[in-house]
Amino acid sequence: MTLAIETHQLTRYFNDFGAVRGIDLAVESGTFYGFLGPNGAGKSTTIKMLTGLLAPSGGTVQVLGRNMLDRREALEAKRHMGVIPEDLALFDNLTAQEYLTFVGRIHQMPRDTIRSRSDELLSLLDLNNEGKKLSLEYSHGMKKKLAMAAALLPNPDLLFLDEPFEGVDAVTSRVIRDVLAQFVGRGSTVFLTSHVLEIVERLCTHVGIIVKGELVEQASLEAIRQGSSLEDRFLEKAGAEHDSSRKLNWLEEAAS
Amino acid sequence: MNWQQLTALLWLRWRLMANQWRRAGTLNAVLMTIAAVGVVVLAVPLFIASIAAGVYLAPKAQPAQLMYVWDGVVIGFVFFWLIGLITELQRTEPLSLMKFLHLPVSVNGAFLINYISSFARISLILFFPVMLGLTLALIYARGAMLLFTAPLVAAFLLMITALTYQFQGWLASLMSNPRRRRTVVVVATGVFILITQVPNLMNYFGFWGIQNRAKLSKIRVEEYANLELARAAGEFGPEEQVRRQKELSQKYEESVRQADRETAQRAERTALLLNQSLPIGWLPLGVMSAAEGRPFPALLGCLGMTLIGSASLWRAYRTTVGLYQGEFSRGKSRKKPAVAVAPTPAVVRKPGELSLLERQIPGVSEPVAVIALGTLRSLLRSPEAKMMLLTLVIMSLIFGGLLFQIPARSSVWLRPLTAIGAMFVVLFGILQMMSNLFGFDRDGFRVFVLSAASRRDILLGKNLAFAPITLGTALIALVVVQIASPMRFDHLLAILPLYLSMYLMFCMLANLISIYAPMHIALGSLKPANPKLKTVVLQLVLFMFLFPLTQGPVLLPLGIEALLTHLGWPERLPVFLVLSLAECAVVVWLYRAVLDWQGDLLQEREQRILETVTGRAL
Repeated sequence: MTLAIETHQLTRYFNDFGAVRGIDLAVESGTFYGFLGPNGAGKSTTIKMLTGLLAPSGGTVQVLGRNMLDRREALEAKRHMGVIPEDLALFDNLTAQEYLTFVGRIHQMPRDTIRSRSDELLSLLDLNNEGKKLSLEYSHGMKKKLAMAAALLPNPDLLFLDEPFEGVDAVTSRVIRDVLAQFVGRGSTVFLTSHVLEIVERLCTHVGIIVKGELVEQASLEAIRQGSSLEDRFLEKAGAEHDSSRKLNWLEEAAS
Repeated sequence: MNWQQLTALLWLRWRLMANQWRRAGTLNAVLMTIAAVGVVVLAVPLFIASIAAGVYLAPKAQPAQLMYVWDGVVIGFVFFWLIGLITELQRTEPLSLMKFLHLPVSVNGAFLINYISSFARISLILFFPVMLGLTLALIYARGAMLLFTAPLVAAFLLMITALTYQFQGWLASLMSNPRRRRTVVVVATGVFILITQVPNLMNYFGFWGIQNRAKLSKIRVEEYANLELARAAGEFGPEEQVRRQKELSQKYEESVRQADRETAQRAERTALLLNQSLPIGWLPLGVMSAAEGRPFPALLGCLGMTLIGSASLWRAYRTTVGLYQGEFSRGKSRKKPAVAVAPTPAVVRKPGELSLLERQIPGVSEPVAVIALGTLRSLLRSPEAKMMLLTLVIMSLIFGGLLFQIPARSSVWLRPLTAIGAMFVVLFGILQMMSNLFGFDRDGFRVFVLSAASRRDILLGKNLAFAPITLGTALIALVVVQIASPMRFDHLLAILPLYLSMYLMFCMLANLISIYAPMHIALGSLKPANPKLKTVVLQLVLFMFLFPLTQGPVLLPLGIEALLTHLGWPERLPVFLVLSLAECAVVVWLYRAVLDWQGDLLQEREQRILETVTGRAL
């Protein structure tokens, strides 16, 4: 078993606040790993540390066998990674085609490959009709799609996706799911965070749950579900079991 | 709108401002609070001083002089008012009205409260007491006829505030498109810069008569020198020289008086014409006519400004209603029948045709080329970069104008120095963008952090992107210098490697500042958003100390040639050219060496830079 991502006691503090507290992640190659947690649990902070967008306060990070805390090895790992960060990474003044050309050339891909893959990706994600529109004029969903196209363009071995389905329409969401399934099917790895448990349940093979900066569960989807639904297990782990007595009394009054 | 809503909206405005101050740091909040309190406190002595000055000066002043005083007040007020407007425009948030129109607030009430709260500007807090003080003083000192000043001031303020409010409303509807919004911000700022340059242009064209005085003074100096020569040649004795000098002096003084009279008459004619033709001049014109005992022009001015103000308010109200009803444009095009909008066709390329971003730059690696071309493409599209280029053009015009005033027979050393000075101006103009290389990438900087490209290549690409703009502008400036004040050919050639050295030295400094003191720049603006005081100080310190240090050595080759010539070496030896070439070679070597180090530094600090330039705490 080779590990695509491995962390040991990964920690990040913002002043006195521990956003991520000593988590040990182990993501096998070829898996579709869903990283779940309530709002503010530390998902995005973790993904930022895994991709080199944020320096950890402590612990180690290995991505694709490279130590991300070593500058040279981090660059080498980045050659094989695709990322959709939480706040995206687009240039306001470039068109979709230009942005993909830019990303492709940064990855030192041949020009013809960049062209053909960009055309395919833009067409697949329904961005091919946007002509000379700049990314600053895109809606949030379109920006997400463009970021997805850029992440896939270099044909990476590992994809980090922070909320990739947020703000994306149903048709594109289906397309992205199919692409990701194809991606994992050929032996690549996806590390995904999402609030939509149905998507995680449908796509992921493995799941990690982070609560208040601590990894409270990490196993295969089947092992976590244990015959129940992922939602129930997640709520249980997140410490927010459904309590029918918690109601807003004033909502029960008749509407005026 | 009820009292609770009114206080809530006033509180909102106050909180937005206070939070903005607080986000920039505690020190900033304290300083801004002190400044705000200071402005309010200052209003009282300003009011008293205006009354005192008015009571003392108004009885003696001519009506035209009263007009000039009011012209000064009006111009000062409009200038500071415009600065406030531009600052507000550069904020990234759209008009606040948009944010609470979905709440249960009546459109009329929202309109009124927003209009009234737009009065809360430093310019009005400072200038209103001055206007009020002067008005009271004029009525006291010049009698009942000057009572017209009060409605004139009221009409003037109504006109300015209503016009501004209408303008802001129009912009809000126009700026629903983010690309157009940025263009509007740039154009408005550009127009403002041009307006502020009007006095300089007037100075350049000799409006103030300074050139006339200088010319007369120059003639006098020449005539004195001729007298001196004639006396030395024995044409007359010392007594005769003194007599003739006295004559010349009297003639000169008379000429100066005549020139001053002509300038004053011309200025008065122009001022009168401007006051008559521009509505903002109707207040000073009205005061003058009232002081002359002619009430009709004052009444007419009052009526005109009230009409403009009322019409603007009405239009502003219509725009507010339009916004409320979701009509973002009220132009005729709205009446066209709706048609399905065809998608913009995808860019079709001919085989073999390369887009800008696909091109290669000879001698550099693939990542460097695409970073350079990508950054250049972004620069050429972004209005903030265009704004910077506009500043560059304006600065070049100002300094270019000065160049043509340098005598054609200036020193052989002054001419290359002028060319070097032109490059200084260009570097100074581009400093704001280049010393914050990643600030304008905003979210795009993540691409660099996530990329496998070497950080040295990123810096090199960024520096290359600015090269065509900087060196291109510098070369145009060089051509202008050469036309205005031709240099020796070998000096002209020496300037070219010197420019490259200056640019590379500047790049090293700009890279360092960008790495150590990055700033978040809001979209469509050149203004740092909530900069930390520490960063601003660091930027200033790095610039103040290192800019002269890095650019100083470029003067060495010229200095050495001047020294050698002074020591008796033949004048035509191209020492400057040879030394410039040698210096350029050294600087290129140094740049390469420093770039490796700066690349490591960038990688070390890239996460902190990302945190700053995206404007988000990670």
